[in-house]
Amino acid sequence: VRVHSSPEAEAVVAAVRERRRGTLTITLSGGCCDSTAPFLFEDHLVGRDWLRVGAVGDVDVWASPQLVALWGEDELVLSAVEDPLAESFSVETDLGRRLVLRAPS
Amino acid sequence: MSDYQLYIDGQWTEAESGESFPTFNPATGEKIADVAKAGEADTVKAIEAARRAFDEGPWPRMSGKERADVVRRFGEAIFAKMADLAALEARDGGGTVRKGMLADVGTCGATFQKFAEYAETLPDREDLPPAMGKPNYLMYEPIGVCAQITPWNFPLVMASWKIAPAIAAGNTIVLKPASVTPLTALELAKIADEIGLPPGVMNVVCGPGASVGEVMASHPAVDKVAFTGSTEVGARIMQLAAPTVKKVTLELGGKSAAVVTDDIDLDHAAKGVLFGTFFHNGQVCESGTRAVVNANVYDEFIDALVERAEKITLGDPQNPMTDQGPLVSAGQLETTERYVALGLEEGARLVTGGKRPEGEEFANGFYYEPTIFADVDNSMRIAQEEIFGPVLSVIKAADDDEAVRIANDSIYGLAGAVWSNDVERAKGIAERMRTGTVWINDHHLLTPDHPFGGYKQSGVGYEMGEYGYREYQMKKRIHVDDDTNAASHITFSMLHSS
Repeated sequence: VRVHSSPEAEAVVAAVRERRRGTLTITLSGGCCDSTAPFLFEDHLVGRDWLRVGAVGDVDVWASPQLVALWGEDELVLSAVEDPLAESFSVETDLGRRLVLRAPS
Repeated sequence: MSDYQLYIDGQWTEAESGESFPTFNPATGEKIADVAKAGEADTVKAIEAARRAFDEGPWPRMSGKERADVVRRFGEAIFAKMADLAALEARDGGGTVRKGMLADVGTCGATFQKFAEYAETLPDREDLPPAMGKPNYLMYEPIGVCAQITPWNFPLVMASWKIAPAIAAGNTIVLKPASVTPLTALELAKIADEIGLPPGVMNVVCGPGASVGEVMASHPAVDKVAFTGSTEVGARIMQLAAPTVKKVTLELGGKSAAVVTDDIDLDHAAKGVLFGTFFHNGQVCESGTRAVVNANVYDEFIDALVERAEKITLGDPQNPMTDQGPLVSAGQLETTERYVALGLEEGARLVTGGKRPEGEEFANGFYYEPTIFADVDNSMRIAQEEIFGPVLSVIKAADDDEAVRIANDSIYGLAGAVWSNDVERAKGIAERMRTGTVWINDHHLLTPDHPFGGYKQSGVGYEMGEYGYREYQMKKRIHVDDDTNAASHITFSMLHSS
């Protein structure tokens, strides 16, 4: 799987950088009410066997080996939408936005 | 002024920023209420209030019996408001009012009653085996300040699973309900106020998972974090809680299997598997979203599923005849649509549903038809990822061994079901499933008496039942030696040679 960046995702990362001092990481994971989704966290550890599947600027995107196997050769774009009620602990929710994965247009 | 404010230290208060956010009815898109939006400062205030109530207030120092009286009144007040709470839950979350009365308010009230009973009847101290011939005993004590974060699918039930055991055991709490469905948790705070729960014992803040949730999971004054939601956020919470070594209980994702043997009663099993999947639109962590069906009955079982699924009536959740309301949000509807498109791309066979219902009554709501995919391979994404929408994947299994292997081929292990007329055969399957709950010929039957917890990446610890109650208590061992003669303590000789 390859995850490509987009201007929307870059804008989210830039806006979060204004508010957060730590190292930013994007993970693809989920379950329950989040389904499978991207998460932007500050100072976060990913699994030691997780794989880098893309980047937004200098922020790496990581996924578990199970997810990488499941998604095979998929090409995806990391984008962002306005979602003032988004939950998830993903730090861009403070801005009323939520990172999302989309098929390339 | 907001319609609903934050409940901190026994006071209703606006957010320090003055900000609020709207909540909507997912059946119509109409706004229901404005809710005060907490930020970091409000969250810290709530945590400090809970800390004071724990360190200085009466609540942790009351007897179990005294606390039980208050917690029981809490449950009675919930039952007394049953119709209003069920209607509000349906308006805020899109579940039907029928579900609201039976599952939401009924379970919520019963949970308070059950934990009142535990506080009153379970021993708060127990004898332990003696050490070096001297008596030992165990004391159960509250943990302290508990930060609790609940999801949007069952707002009342999830809140009760958190609040009731925590306060019954003498802890103080800060609860953050999901921003999409915060109203009934705030109604519970009104009840706490009315029944005279001491200030600071229960605080409720609403706001973004990131700023509010991060403070709750990492603040040094918090002793325990309890969370229900996604596996990834559960992992995040463990990291945030790690530097101060908080106790953590997590109830996370699932992709539970419903194993169907070849000796079933078709009608019962089809109705049951559909209930296991489509109850509340599949927005349930223990939903049986993979039906693993024995090859001998596979085709006829799919026909039975389709026939039954097409009888499920979608409509206004407030109408008591409605079987299925809308999904909770536009985002959840979009997620469902994306997974259905993905299922088709992956080569699964769509046998019913797969679209939004047509008609004016559905135009403004987030409705989606119950959707069934046949010929699903367990390695497909629709069989491995949690959709949290009304989508069932039907997978063929040659025999019981293969069914167990498929059921266990998941990163999750939350729940599952076995449908069979031969109970002994069903138990043979259930006992081999690596999952926290298995129902034989039933589904979704979670009760306040029975522990609920996840294997694998479905969670840490237990909620409900005695195990759930004990998760809110520390266990202190006290060794009592009445012999003060140093010479008779042979262990001392390891250090003192003379």
